[in-house]
Amino acid sequence: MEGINVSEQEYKFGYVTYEEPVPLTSEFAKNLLEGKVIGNQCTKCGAKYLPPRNGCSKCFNRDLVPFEVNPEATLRAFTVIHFAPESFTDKAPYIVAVGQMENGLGVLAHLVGVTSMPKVGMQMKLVAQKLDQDRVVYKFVKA
Amino acid sequence: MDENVVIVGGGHSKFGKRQGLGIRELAFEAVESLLNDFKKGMEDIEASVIGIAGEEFSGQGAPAAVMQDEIGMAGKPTLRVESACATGTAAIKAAYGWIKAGFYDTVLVLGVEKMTSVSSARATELMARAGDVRWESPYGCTFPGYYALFASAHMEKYGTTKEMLSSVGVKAHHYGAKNPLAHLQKEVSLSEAMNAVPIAHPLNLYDCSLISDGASAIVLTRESLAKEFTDTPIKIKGIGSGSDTMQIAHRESLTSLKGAKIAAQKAYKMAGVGPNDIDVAEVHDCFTIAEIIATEDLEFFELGEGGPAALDQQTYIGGKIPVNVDGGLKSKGHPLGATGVSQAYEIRKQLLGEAGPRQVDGAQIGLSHNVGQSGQFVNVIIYGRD
Repeated sequence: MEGINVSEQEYKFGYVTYEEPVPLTSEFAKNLLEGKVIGNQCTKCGAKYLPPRNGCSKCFNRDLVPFEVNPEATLRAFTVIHFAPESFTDKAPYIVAVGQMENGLGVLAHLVGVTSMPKVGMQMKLVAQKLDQDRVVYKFVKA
Repeated sequence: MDENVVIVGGGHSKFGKRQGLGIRELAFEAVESLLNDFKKGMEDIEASVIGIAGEEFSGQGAPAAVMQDEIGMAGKPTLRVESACATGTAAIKAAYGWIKAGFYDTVLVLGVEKMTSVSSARATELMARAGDVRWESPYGCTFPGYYALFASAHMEKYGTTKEMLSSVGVKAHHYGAKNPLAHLQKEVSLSEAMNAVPIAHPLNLYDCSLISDGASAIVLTRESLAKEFTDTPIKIKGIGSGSDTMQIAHRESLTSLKGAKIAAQKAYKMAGVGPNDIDVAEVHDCFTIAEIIATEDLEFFELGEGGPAALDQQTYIGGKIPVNVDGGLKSKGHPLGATGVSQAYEIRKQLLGEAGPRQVDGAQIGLSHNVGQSGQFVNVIIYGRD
């Protein structure tokens, strides 16, 4: 196979992909397909990143090590999207939430499975949902 | 260059759904309007800075060049500036810097956007892509959505109500109805505003700025040359800027814009004034909650008091601080690249006493606050009669 670049399978994160996939997102999506939310941490200054980064934005060290994120989260803010972007028109209405997680980490994701209007401060859990063989999202559910 | 930089001219196209006009015609209209009360001509302008946020709306790549040609400036230096919705003030700051550095004495700042040639769903998509396309846009959070997140946090923390939000929209339409350049010139009642179609809960149609076409222009020069252009120059007294994390989920606060607070402090310090000295303000009310947060970040009101103050009409003419008495982004319209320049145009008019039925009596010092994306770019500018 000399001269032929056998690329590994690419995994995609999110409902849509707007930019050219990079190994960082593919790896993140692969872990998420296995049910694990994996952030990374700088070996030099200890800064933690979720989502993971390619290098440390604080000290420019490229040596980052993965860690598994505790999925517990507190709802900081939410909205119900009624008028959606073109790519999401068929999904509306949907709830977009910002969750606060351990060590000051947090992500934006859909909040699903709630029957009444969510309440800021409610406890949630970040879980993975496989959309396709190679595509995955994380979403919040009520804890 | 130790002199002050002053504004010696202003022009403004009609904002709205301007069918049949592309960016070049909009640019022409703004500069034509500028020349109406300008003692000199285009030959006395040495360079331009052109602000336009996106080329996908208009279809023209590298769009500054086509406008530079249309306004008769081909051959002179130009530069395209982009900072999302803060593009217009970024262009003003760039021109200010050119003059201060001594490159040119007199520079045109032109802000333009053509947005209505695409559908609202498409425009929503294009603007949503100014969110983090790797980690946050893939969840379909719209621009109203990001500000709705702020609204939910503000309501929870401070008890801000839907009625307070809607009162901001009512004010915008009250003044927009008096502005012949505004996109929507009609009054709206509080109950209409509160019961409009939902866009991104808790924001509805009357909480959201308009998708508009339009252009605005100002001319900057050195103070010692001002008299050649006008008898009434307006001084740029201070400019401050700030930014914030790309991802909303990484923000320290969801009830305030850190970049706006930084920008305001810098601008106040440079101008040697404080919030109580401001007679009239233009703030970036892309959404009603944005105006409430802006009036707090600019320290017109204490944190959490922006909502009650809006409901109490403290931001009307005659209140503590008149805000967006041109109709704001909500009623005047929000052609992205034009907005920051339009704010400066309006403050100039106010300080000249030329704002007609919207005039704040005796306004001497004005402020504009222009935010890009959801706080990733912020510029605050302070202007004075002297």
